[in-house]
Amino acid sequence: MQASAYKARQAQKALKKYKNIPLTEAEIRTKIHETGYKTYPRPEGIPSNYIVEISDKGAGIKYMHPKDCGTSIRVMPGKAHSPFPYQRQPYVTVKRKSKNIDKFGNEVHFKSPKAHIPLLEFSLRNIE
Amino acid sequence: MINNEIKINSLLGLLEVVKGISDLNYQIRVWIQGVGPECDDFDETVNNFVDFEECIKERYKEYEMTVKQRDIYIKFRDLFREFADDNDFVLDFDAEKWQIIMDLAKEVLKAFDDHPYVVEARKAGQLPWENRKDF
Repeated sequence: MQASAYKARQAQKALKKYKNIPLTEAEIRTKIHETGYKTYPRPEGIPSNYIVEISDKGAGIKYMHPKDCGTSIRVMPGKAHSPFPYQRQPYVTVKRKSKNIDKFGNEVHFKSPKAHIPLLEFSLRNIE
Repeated sequence: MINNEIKINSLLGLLEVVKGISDLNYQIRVWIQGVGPECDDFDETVNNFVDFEECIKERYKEYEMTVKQRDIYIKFRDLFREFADDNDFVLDFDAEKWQIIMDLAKEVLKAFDDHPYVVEARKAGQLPWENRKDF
């Protein structure tokens, strides 16, 4: 637990300097790997013109619609020190019209466990 | 120009994040003890804040903010984002600075209490932080 929290903090420190620097997805993955975190394949179906960024917290990758600020997909690694089972495994959050949606495309509250979709259960096809 | 639905969703979402930041009991119950029903922690709070902020930034007039609302919001945002960069809330954090941010969060909520989106949502009984959600 403590080791997981320490790793997260070290990653945060290392990644914060890349926040406002435009990087390619490959470069972002390299920077995250350097912190000891894994990255996961880009979810199938995300258009190639989406803007890719390092998530503000948690060493994840965020994909943003280039014109619609209310639409984004965040792929997060699990963190063993989370008190929530949903966050101990890799998960995805999806915002559409600035509302979170579950794995079936239904609107859910952003603090709902259903807003944290296990990566293995996530498919863009199911939510469109 | 962004549509009204996105403007309302993003501002109310952001204010709900701010509500969590203002509430120490919530942080102890949810962020630290992991007692639900909410699934939330400091990292998710920061990420959600940034997600909602994505639409709001620099669009204060479009969001019908008064000068007072805009100014307190910007002050809060800058302080919170700076704190988020340097603190993790799990191993250690600057408690003194966090108290300032919690107090400022309360001021933001007070300033936005008469914002048209908040007033309308309250009238409809849909103000998220006043109507507990079934998670």
